[in-house]
Amino acid sequence: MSDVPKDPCAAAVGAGAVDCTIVLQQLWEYLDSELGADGMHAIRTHLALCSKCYPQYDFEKGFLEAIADCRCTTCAPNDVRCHVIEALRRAGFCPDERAGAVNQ
Amino acid sequence: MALTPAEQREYDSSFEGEALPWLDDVYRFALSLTRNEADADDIVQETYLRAYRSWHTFERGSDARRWLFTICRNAFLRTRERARHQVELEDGDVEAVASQVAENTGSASGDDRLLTRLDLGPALSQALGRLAEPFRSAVTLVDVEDQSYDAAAEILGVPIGTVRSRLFRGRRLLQQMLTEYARDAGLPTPITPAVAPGATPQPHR
Ligand SMILES: [Zn+2]
Repeated sequence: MSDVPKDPCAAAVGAGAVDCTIVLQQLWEYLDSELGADGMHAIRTHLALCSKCYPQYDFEKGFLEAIADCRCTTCAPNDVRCHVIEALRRAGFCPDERAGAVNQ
Repeated sequence: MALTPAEQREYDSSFEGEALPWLDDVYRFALSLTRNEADADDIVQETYLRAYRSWHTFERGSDARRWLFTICRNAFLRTRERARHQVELEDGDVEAVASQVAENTGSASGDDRLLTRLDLGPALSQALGRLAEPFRSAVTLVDVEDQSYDAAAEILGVPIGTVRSRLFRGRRLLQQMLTEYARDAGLPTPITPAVAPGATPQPHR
């Protein structure tokens, strides 16, 4: 406990525009890069200095990265790929056979 | 108006090069909307057929994935209209109930500490599959498919503020499901030294 400052964001407040409440409220928008340039800068500065907000940032970052990883675990089954190509062929689509990629 | 054979070849080859590579992405989004593999299969076919027929309207150099997602969402809405009886309560009621649940689950709670060291992968895929609409499609677009709030708003046909609130509620609900999963799995706590706002810091051990 002793390694956690009593007022962990005193330095951060001194350094900039936002306090911990605002930072924690805007963490997701920050991680999504959806704040304006000033907002991004203010939060980045605060996080660099605040030992209270940083672990929460780290946690949320890991959480969002884990959701993003779901991208790698779900692909279109081969059946779906074949159905799409068949439907497209019926509509007149003629894939480039040399490339061969669409039939995989 | 008929295309010359050369134009047709160009049409097909650009479609093949720019639209077909996103098939996995479109499938994941379709699955997030339908939660049913057979329905997702139908919607992906429908999406690609429509995309192929209107490929001449696609603005070259713009984001083909975003364009396909929009077509996919529309294809889904059409099938849903055909099967209206299933989903009458979806948007309003589910959203209201889930928002209450979400508001009772702050990330400021010590529960967060349960999650961090968990192998989140399989549990998270499962939780995402169980997440109710309209939260699931917002989370899928932004978090899985890396779309901006703005793109997600366009694809879903809702204001950007709605995307933000669905996304944040969806994430809170996922965190809650994972916390329950961790408890059910009897995972030891505390797991991380995360210092959540308002929570007492835990010694790292
Ligand atoms: Zn802080």
